[in-house]
Amino acid sequence: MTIDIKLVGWSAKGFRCPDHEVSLLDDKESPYPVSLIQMPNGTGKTTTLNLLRLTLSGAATTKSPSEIKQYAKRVEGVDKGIMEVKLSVNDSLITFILVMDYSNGKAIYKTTKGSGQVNGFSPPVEIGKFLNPHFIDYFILDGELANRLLKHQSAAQEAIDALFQVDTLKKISQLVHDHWSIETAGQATTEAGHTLRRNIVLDLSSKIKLYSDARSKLQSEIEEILTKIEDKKSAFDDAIKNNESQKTALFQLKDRLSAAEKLQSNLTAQAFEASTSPENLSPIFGHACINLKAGLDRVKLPEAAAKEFFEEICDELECICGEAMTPEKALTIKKKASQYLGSNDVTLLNAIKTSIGERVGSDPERNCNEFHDLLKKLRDAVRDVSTLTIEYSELTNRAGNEDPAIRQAQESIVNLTGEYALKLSHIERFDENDDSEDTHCISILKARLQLAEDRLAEITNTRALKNKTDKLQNILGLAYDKASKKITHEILQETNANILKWLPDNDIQVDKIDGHLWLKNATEGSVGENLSVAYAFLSTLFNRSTHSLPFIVDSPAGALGNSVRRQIGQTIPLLTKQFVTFVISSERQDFINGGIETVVDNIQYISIFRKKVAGYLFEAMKVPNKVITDDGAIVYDKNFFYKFEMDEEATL
Amino acid sequence: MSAFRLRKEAKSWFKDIYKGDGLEIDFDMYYFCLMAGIASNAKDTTFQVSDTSELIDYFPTRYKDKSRIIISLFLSRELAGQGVTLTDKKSAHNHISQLISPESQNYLSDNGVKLMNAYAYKGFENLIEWFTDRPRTLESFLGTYANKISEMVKPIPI
Repeated sequence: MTIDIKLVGWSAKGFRCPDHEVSLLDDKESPYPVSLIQMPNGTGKTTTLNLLRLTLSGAATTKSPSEIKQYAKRVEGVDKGIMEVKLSVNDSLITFILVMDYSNGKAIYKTTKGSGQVNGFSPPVEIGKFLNPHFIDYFILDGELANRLLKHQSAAQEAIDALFQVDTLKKISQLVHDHWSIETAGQATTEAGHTLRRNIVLDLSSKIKLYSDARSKLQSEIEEILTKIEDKKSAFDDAIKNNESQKTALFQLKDRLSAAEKLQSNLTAQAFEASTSPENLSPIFGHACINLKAGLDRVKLPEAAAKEFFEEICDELECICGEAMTPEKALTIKKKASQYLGSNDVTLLNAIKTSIGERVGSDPERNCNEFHDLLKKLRDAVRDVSTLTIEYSELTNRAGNEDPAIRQAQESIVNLTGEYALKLSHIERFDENDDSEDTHCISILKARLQLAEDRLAEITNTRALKNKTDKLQNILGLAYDKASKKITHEILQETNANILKWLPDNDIQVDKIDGHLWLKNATEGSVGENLSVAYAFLSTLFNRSTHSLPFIVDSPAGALGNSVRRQIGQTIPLLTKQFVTFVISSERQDFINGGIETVVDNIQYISIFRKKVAGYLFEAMKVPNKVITDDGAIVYDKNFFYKFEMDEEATL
Repeated sequence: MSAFRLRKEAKSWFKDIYKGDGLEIDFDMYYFCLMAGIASNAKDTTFQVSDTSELIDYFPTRYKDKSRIIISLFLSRELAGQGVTLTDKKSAHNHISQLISPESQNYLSDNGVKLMNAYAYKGFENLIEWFTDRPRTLESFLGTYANKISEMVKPIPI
């Protein structure tokens, strides 16, 4: 049976966002297929999304008191916040209630389902695999998730692992390893070296943990910096668009630079491919191959007959000359046969000679000249890119002198790029193949730990247990690889089938899922293609014969150009049975009108803002379908939605 | 069946042009080291296995249809080095059968792989000498590499 999960609505009271209650149901009490929720930045959009994640994952109980207190409404007398989220699971209603107690810094949950209310976060077993901290970010997602699925080293695999719970095998493997560690810790021994060996294991284990944590932290920081760089680049482009005097020249130059970079990239790929054929590197290499072939021909190698031919003759009653085959004769023939090559050798030498004829031909200079011509074109392309880069830099500097917004974005990009390079150099030492005593290389340390554990196992007479542990871990590792490969293959096929169905005009497919999604025939698609592919992947995960999940997305159109907005707007609603998205007013253009509205009729329009925005509050009072709370207004109206023009409120 | 082996320092040296927009597999590094060794007629048969990392024992897809040319070049260099002139069938047969093995996936005998690894091992030292600093971009690497090969290689008397 398919588990069909839909978000029905929620209410929030006592948090940093305005108190509000949102219902996503239409007149027939069914959730709208598309709900558009407009909240200006600064209204508590991020707080609302985080509360949705916390309420639907049970993760708030792991938050520290100071983290809990950060959610408190900044009004005196508010000592708790209550978030109530309603889901429909195959038409049955389940309500999750999260209460944040600010005075004690604690979070508690209540769950209401068919049998009544229970204390704690208690989703039905069949939806538990979706409602947990590992998976929640995949269906309540921000605009950046799609990007991460295509670039972050393990994001796509993690999504698959979390959904199909293949990582349980890894967790069991860790438990097995922990068990072995506990057993060896309690092992009494008289061996003098035991303490020393155990200390080595402990030292290596703690180093590996320390370095792995540091590496993960650096990796996250690097990803954050990359996101910031992209944001600043968008800010820079926006600022340039407003600079009337330079924008035309800058955009033209940028286009020329992009074209030059593309040419350079293509030529580099061609030159690399050509360089992997030795005959292109030097005519001397070509001549050497030709001479080898000629030499083999000269000495008649390989012979027309292989040694097996003569060995078979010896087994006959008669020799090929017609005389009887005597043992003496057979012995002589066998001795001589060893001077001949075996049939496989003959085949190989013939294949080598054929390859020389086909690949090198008779004019080795020609291959080499073509390769050097290609290299010359590449040098020219590199020079062009360099010249255009300098020109572009000079022009942007000039624009920066005229406009502080451009200057600021430029400086931020330079600073962030420097920060990125620094972090990258820091992370390298954890991966570099440094075999020295004080190495930081995690893989080398792991190999040393394995060795140290083996030595410890010997000395503590736990060899048998260690063997069993290793075998079990090995089986679990194989099971994980096999299950993971099979599931990943299936998801890949289905994702590509879905891309063909949803994006028939785009010639784009996923080549493989190896950590992240890899596109076929391209290192990187356009922004629109990347997003479409990422959403198609998530949709494949979310809408299967066994389950169907909503898409809840923050700012899906924020950083996109108009044409991409239209493409994404027309695509996402087709990928899911329920699409709930948070937008700001500037995202409406092309994403909603021109995008979503061209493919879906039944759309819900909601605007949420603080009451202090007096002008719009006055307008909201005229709308029949609205809710006004102590500090917020929630307006259900399409006209109001389109009249509302405010991207940013004062920072909270 | 023996595997190709790459000097451990090579990965650090190539790291800026490895993955991303550059070399795609470890064998790419091995190939460039090997060609440098063969061009310079330089090999180190005394290298320590512990100074190297094991790679695959077959030619990867990119090199599959070029593998026989790589082997031809290696045979030419090795036979020339041993003074085999390919005028005497018996001597040619003996020397060639010690280097190739049709049953192995890389068509080389264990001894053949060992010798090829010796060229790649020494070839990495050539690379370090040829480049003032490790390569930062694939395009600059390819240009300098091709020039140095042309400059260093001498006719192979086979």
